[in-house]
Amino acid sequence: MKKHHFNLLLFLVPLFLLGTLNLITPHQATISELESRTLKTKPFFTTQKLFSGEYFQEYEDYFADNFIFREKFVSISGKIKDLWGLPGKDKVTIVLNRGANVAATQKKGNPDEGNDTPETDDSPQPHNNEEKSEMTKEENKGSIEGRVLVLNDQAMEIHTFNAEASKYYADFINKFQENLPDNNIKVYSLIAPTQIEFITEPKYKDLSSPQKKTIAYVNKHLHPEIILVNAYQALQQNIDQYLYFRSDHHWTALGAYYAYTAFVEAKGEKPIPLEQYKVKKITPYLGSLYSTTLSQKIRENPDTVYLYKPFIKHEYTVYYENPIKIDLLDMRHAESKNKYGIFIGGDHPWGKISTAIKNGKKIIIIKDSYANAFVPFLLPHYEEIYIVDPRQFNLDIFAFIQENGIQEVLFLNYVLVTDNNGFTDLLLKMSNLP
Amino acid sequence: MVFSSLVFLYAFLPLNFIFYFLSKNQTYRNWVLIIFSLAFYAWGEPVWVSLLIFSSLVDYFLGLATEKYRGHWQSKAALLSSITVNLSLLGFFKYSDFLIQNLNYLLGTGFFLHNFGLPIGISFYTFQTISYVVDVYRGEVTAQKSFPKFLLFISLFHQLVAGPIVRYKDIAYAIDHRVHSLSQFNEGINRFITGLGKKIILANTAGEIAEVFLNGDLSTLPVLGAWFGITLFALQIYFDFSAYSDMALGLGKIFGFNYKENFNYPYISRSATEFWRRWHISLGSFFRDYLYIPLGGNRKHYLRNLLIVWFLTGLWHGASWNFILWGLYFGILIALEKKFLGKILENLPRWVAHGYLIFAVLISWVFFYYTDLHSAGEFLGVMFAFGSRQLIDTQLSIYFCNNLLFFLLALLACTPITKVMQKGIHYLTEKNTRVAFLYGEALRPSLNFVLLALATILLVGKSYNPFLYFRF
Repeated sequence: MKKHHFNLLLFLVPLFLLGTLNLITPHQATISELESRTLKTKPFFTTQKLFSGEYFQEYEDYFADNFIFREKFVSISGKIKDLWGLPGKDKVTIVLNRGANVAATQKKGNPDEGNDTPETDDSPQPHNNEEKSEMTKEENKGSIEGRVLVLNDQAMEIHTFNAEASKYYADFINKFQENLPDNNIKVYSLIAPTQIEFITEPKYKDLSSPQKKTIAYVNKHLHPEIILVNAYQALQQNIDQYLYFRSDHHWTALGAYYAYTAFVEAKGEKPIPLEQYKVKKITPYLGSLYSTTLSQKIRENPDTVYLYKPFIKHEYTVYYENPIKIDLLDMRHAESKNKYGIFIGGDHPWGKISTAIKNGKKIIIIKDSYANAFVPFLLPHYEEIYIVDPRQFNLDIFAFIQENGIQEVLFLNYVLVTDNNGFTDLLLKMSNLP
Repeated sequence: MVFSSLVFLYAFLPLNFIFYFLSKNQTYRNWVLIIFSLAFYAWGEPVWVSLLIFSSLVDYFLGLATEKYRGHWQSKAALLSSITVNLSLLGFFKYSDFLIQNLNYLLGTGFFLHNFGLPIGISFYTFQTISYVVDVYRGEVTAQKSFPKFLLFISLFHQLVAGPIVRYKDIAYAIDHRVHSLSQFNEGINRFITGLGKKIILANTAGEIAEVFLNGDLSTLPVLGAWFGITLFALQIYFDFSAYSDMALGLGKIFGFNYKENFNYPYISRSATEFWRRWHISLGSFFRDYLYIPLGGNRKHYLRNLLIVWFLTGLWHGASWNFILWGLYFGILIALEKKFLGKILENLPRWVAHGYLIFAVLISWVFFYYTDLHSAGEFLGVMFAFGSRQLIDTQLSIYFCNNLLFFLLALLACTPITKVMQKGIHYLTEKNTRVAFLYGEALRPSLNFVLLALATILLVGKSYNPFLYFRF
């Protein structure tokens, strides 16, 4: 071979080969299950988009999303990072979390028919318009949305105590209570601790703020009329059991059950023993934090979802523009990647469960997705259960409570909603409170 | 568009190669480069590409006028008009909002901002056009008679958006008479891939880690975390910027242009003066030749000249006070070095001088990173352990252990080690053609291939964007 030919070939052949392959492989709109999103399709051309620069930006995203061998390349790129460190006893990493914002992007009107893939149109990275140097112009100095600790085969969100945001959350509940149409309506607050609070390695404990303190801080700022549910203690006492997923940020149904026992006790009632439920097992499950971290160790040791089948007769309806009846344990999600979506079928603007328990008791739960595994255990105690997701609910909540004759309000959210004001802002907006 | 993107590597560049090498006709090739360059620019600035063309037209005619009336007042008028037009455009797009903000703040007025955003590369190409007209005025080059060729000089996509700031006289000959050869193409590939690897493997990784420490919660940041973070930022910005110059030089070589080196291992310097002779050389020499020396240089009003130059060097990097401070900081250090510090440094052991420079540069990057001075102050407070602070925490030790090899590799890549190795290889290859063959025809191509593959994989990996429904 002539001089330099090999270098030229090794450079030009990949460029032309991958370039051509990209061109000739058909690109349909496909869904990336792992990422829970639809891959970008070829952008529509409009002159407006052209002049705003949006068209070319979208085109680049489309080009990257549909790059040949994308899935393989993504999985290799995750492994490259592992090469930079020294091998140690524990495999510990911290992964930054720059998630897209579901509240801002989820389209209303369509209950996800077994397809838990919300559409998102926003660009992957947060844009930041602050003045930048020419040299760093293309880089995004977006703020860090959150951090995930991966300790061997367990991934956990890191909690950061934020006094201001914690008080903001407590103040919201107080305001909500003050604005209720009837003083006799009882308000409960349950803050769910997460798995990182209970890791045993003292070495890694200082990464995450103590959640016990955070919860106590919120409780301290709540009005005395608000009834506190000590889910923390109930979970802590049973922590040797399978209460949290390792690949997902949620608790398991068993974890939710112990929180439920704390709630029922706070009401002065007796919880239904777990033995009364038939158990169904779904495996393997790789949850949200696996998607975030793509941790090899977690993939080798996936989670199992245990379902406790409700034995009380009931009917469950979720409300988008039109009401739709679905199963409380929605098995369409058992086939998909997001198996936690089985519980009450995932997050909906609002839902209603009517049970065969004709005791006239009605509760509304204002919640994040931690409540989803919790709700099915309430069936034996209520005639009607309303479930509201502040990210999507758009009715007048106080009128809603009055019209439906609801007597109890439960706020059930996980402790990370106190890390920043984001979730409380949604709660305030939903309630039309200042 | 940027070089480190999939669209550039796997669509733009192959197409550019096909069209360019289709014919040997120089005029044809120049047109191909003009069209591709304008497309490259329009990809990121679909509107302000018109500004680029407008700016080129103005300077093309003013350049001709400057030359035509040489020795008459019209020549000077043309020169002044060119400088005025260029600086006005730069001033309007880059600095007017900053000026208005400061006026509103000082006088309590309520002028509106135009919020046009900064056209990409405007700081680079306005400096190129200014240098052209000044050089014509000084009689250092003859004016370009053909507008397309002049437009080619301004818009050439290799250096358009992030430098180096190329002077017309350095490529005037190549516009008409450049030669292409396999060995140039070969060298060009080596250089381009070096830059690509530097940008995607080193700069991006350093940036990701730096962000954790610089952009996290400063109130709980441990002292060593701050030092670790700012060191990684120093690595990021060097690799990022010098990688861009590497890629520009490499592409230039492939297409027959030889641009001057823009970086020369700045972090091995032993004084701020030396640092700026090694960092962004084309900018430093621009300010030296077109501002500092005309102002009187070292001969009269030395201190005034120095402060003006460094004020403007800072301001050039961004329309914000932190960049001005950053520039003045270096100006002061350089003045001190000239007065007495330089002498002292020379007489100290080398490692002390190195330590001084690294320390000074790390502090400077704090002002560069934080556009608001309050955060910069807070961060410096962490670095110097004001208040009660931990020295180290778990997060830092996890990041440190998980990236130790990267960190060492990155530090090594700041030194001329590859240059030394290349010299060694060169020495060997002189003596032994077998070694020469093995390196040039097998080892280096394979290394290039691995780097290209890694860069591609990491670029595709960046598109991994899990949709997290639990983030608000």
